[in-house]
Amino acid sequence: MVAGPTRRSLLRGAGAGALALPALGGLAGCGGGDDAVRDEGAQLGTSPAPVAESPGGDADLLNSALAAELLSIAAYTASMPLLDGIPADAGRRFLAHERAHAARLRELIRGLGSTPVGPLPSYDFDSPGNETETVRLLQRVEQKTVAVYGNVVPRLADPQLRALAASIATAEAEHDAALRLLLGRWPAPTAFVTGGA
Amino acid sequence: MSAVAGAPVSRRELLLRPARRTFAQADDDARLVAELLLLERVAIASYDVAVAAARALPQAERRRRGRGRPPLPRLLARLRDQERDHAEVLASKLQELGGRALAGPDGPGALRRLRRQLGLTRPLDGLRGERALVAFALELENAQLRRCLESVRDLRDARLVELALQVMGAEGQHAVVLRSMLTDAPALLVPGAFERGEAAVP
Repeated sequence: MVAGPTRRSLLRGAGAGALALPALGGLAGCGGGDDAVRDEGAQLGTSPAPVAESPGGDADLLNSALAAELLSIAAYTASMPLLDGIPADAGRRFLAHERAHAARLRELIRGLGSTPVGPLPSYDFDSPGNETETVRLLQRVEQKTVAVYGNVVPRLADPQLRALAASIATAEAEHDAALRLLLGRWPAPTAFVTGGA
Repeated sequence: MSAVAGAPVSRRELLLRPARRTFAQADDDARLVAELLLLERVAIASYDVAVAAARALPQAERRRRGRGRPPLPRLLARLRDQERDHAEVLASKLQELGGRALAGPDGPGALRRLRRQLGLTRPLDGLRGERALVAFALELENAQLRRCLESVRDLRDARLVELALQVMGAEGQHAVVLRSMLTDAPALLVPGAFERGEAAVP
């Protein structure tokens, strides 16, 4: 972009990932703050219905996780120009983590004989007005990613894949906590981390 | 007596096999939930010791805090309270499975013995200074992360897998809280892309 990119155009850029999340549009409505998140605790591992297996098997489930990772990569990539100092350090570090997750998921999906999903041409994120809003957006993306893994992990049939996906999901929950700290919020608001699904 | 390969299997045996398999799986799940619960109870008792030690710290050290973080005694108490929430739900799940809880830490001697059995090496005595307390708590959280990871892998019931995953997420966030007491560097707050409960104290 030649003539100074606007924040919106920056956050639209970085095409990356087919989104299986329940829509990023949901991010705008999930504002909430810590009190809203605290209420998640009431759901704590008690799904109202039995967890169903995926008809498409483990490869489809891993592709859902990959789509969420691609979305995160797009969000971090687009946000980097808007971050400075410690938030920028965090953004760079967590972006590297997301890329490592995506790479591992692609390997596993190919190993199962399936084709990994590719990135979407673009994403339309919110248009944060300042650094704090950018960090808040990233924190919500992490929260949604945790929710995606919360759906994926219990349905995976292969125990080793479950463990691998759980190790990623927990890293995402930790990103969420670290971003909350940057926002001056209590990083562990609930005893049962669901991603607010 | 086990069946010999090729030997005829009775109709009754064929009918009973799925039910036996289901009960065996439930037994395995009950054992895993009981082990998770025991570690939670050891964590609660260990945090009780840590909270008391934090309250005995000099006022200046006790009250040091960053953005969004309470003083150390209250911070440790909050983490302990979430472990209590985990223990409560796990105990109820264990009851639903018809399993029995393992003997918990009902005194200082039992706590020391159980900590040794669970591979927790940091001593309960001599928890002086913020760094020692945080390292003590991080060892607990790492142990819980490893146990949760094994549970997610080995549990058969998907709803229990979901619960273990939710608990694991919380233990990971506890680890971030604790690391943040020692550093602000993001690279050290979340040291790896894959959380396996093996991160060193920053």
